[in-house]
Amino acid sequence: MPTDLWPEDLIGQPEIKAPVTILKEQASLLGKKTKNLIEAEVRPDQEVETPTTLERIMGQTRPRLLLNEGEFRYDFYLVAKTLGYRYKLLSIQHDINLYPVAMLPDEDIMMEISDGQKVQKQWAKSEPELIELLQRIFTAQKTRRVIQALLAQMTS
Amino acid sequence: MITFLFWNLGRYVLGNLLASIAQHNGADVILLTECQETATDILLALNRGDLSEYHYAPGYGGCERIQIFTRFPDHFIPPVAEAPRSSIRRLALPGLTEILVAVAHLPSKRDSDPDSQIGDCIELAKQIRMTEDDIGHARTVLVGDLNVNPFETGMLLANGLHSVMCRSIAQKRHRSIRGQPYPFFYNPMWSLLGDFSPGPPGTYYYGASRQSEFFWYMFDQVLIRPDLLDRFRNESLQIVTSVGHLSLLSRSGQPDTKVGSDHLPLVFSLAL
Repeated sequence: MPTDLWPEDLIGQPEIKAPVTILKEQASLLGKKTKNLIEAEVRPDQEVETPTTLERIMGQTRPRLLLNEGEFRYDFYLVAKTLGYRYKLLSIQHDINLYPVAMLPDEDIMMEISDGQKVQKQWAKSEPELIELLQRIFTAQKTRRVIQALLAQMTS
Repeated sequence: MITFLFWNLGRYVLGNLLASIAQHNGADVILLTECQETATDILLALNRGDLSEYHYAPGYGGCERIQIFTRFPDHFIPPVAEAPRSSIRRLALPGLTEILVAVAHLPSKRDSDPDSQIGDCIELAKQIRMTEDDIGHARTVLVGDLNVNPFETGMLLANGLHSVMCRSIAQKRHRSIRGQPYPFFYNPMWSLLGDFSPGPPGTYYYGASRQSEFFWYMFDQVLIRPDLLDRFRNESLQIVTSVGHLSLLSRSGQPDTKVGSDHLPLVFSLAL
């Protein structure tokens, strides 16, 4: 029997919250503000392989395989299910270290939060910076306009 | 315990009444057909006041007749098979037994003929069996407005819905005819027929001037596969006739369309 060289406390409470966890927490809160007319979903960035027939039947998408050197990507959508409409509000990317995380919101929102400058990505080096950036994205004028437009469509 | 509410709304505007019935009965899954209102309006009615309990659970677009709302996010009840008159969902809530929920609204007698109605039952049964084979289990509940009574041919045929009135027979799981096994459904609606059982004699009333008339029809039904029977108690099934002090019945005891629909709602629970 070989000697087990792994530490005993491998599985425990993570010390930091993964960016995707923060996104999912926020996603779960949007519905409460809109009576679930608009909800938010977090999905791994597009599937890389065609789903099998059974996966299509079961409505499953496979998570995207890891990209270059352990990169993780997730998309955050606003979803109006009664309209059958989905809007990608932002994407995030990070490597196995979780931070820094690159934030790629919708173009107009990026202009707003970057004070009019053309910037490809905004970076959050820590959980507090991620939360601050998310707040700026969620409270951006474009975000409000999209939500209000969706609500207007639904109640027209 | 997961509570289901099915209602054929009869194209009446009943969002607020639906919300009251759902709340009164603690409905976790609301299955509707013949909705006059949009899904948005129904969702707003269900989530009135400070509530945002209910979510809309759309399908793939293959069945526009059926609308589903749930007290949990819709990704726990994705569609797995759809046809114009039916939607089969895979209900998989964390920590609970996964089941299939098949919802159907079959053509009415006005729009059909007896042979076609038999065919519709056969096709629905086939769709359910194929989905069960794909998914790998037969823990299925079928609920809907089937537009036939429990005793009609399509409900009884082995290659139809093969639904029986007796739990102990259904628990045999299947019956073989000429070497071909046919799975059973248990049909508790038999026990609610007539006025010797609690509640109204049926779910729909129609009294025409013709020689043979049932007057009360049990078109709206719940059928349970044997593999799910241990999670279903007959006592949980009821035909809803009131909510609080508001009766859904007229003074003559028939569905009152001034208040609700021409169909009465069904409520039942499964211990998943």
